[in-house]
Amino acid sequence: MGWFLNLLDTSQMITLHVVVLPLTALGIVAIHLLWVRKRGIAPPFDALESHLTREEGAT
Amino acid sequence: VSYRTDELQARRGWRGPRERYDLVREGLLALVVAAVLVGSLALVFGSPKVDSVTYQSWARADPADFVTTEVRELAGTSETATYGPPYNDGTEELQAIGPFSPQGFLGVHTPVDAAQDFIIGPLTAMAPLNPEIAAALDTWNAADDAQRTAWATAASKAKADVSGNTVSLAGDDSGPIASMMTTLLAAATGGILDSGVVDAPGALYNNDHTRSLLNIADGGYVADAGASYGLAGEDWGIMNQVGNWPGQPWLWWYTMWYNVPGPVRASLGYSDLAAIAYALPLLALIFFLPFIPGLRSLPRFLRVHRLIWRDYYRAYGTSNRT
Repeated sequence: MGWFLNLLDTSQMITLHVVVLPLTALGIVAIHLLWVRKRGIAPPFDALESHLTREEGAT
Repeated sequence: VSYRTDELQARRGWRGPRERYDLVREGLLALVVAAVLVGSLALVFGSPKVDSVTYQSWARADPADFVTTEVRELAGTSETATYGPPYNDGTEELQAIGPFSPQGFLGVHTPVDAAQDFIIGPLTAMAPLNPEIAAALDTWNAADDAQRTAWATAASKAKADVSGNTVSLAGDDSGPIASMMTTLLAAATGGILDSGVVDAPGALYNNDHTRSLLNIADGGYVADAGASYGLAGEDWGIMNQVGNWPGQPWLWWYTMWYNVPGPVRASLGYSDLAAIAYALPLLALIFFLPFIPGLRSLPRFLRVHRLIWRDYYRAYGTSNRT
């Protein structure tokens, strides 16, 4: 496991924090945004009935 | 409201009023605000810069501690030498809850041989420059294990006396160890040990300081330095920077558990496994919050959504379904 997780190895920790973690975070944000574009936002749970469609998500 | 009802509600489409929304503009604004916040908070709360402890600063400030520590490395009695996984086959620092020990399970994957890596290796690299150390090393290498142990034990018991760069060890016969320590001390005070001869002999580019960090951490000097900056365990030191400056808040959730007393601490001490044993189940609680009855309904009472959708509620009121 030392080949990818050794807290005392500076290069490894910098790579993890500067490359791997930001890319992972960006990926999660991208998936989230695409999902919102596709499905639309979730309505507030006490919105007026007339403001909601019958069926599942639509934009 | 059941999870199923909530889910169906959230899945319903929106045909109410809409607003234009520029995501890029919003993102840029957030970036600027965050940058200003981070910058100004760093100006106020940023911790002062403290020079790192090196072999050189250690050996210059406390040569006797340096020699005593290196003798323990040679004798195989230091924390690193007896540590266990991931460095070697020792058991001193092996953490387990019952039979559960991820540390033991993962095994030795970053091998460190304290005597060889910290002492014999660096001295061997310097031997061609210094006939005296070459002779001492020949004596050490020619001796059998029993003889080396006898020398190392005698050296461990002896009081290390340092005058200038010359080390003398009183007491029983410690063979070539005093001579070896004299060279090692000179190499440390001169900065040679910080140059890669311990961490990565023969490598041009190296940022892996595993060996030297372990070696320096075995000494009393770095522990005293840490304590003087309020970084010791009793001071909740793992939570903060030097002095009273806050550390990394995103790590607090994990690091605070090192300091919390309780049954896990009682059986495991200030161990990583104890902190993980506390932090993980509670982290799971947050992770699975949307599925936990009661807790998942908190937003109904906190009513943060009323703030976010305030324009909507002002204009249309609510359906009073809640």
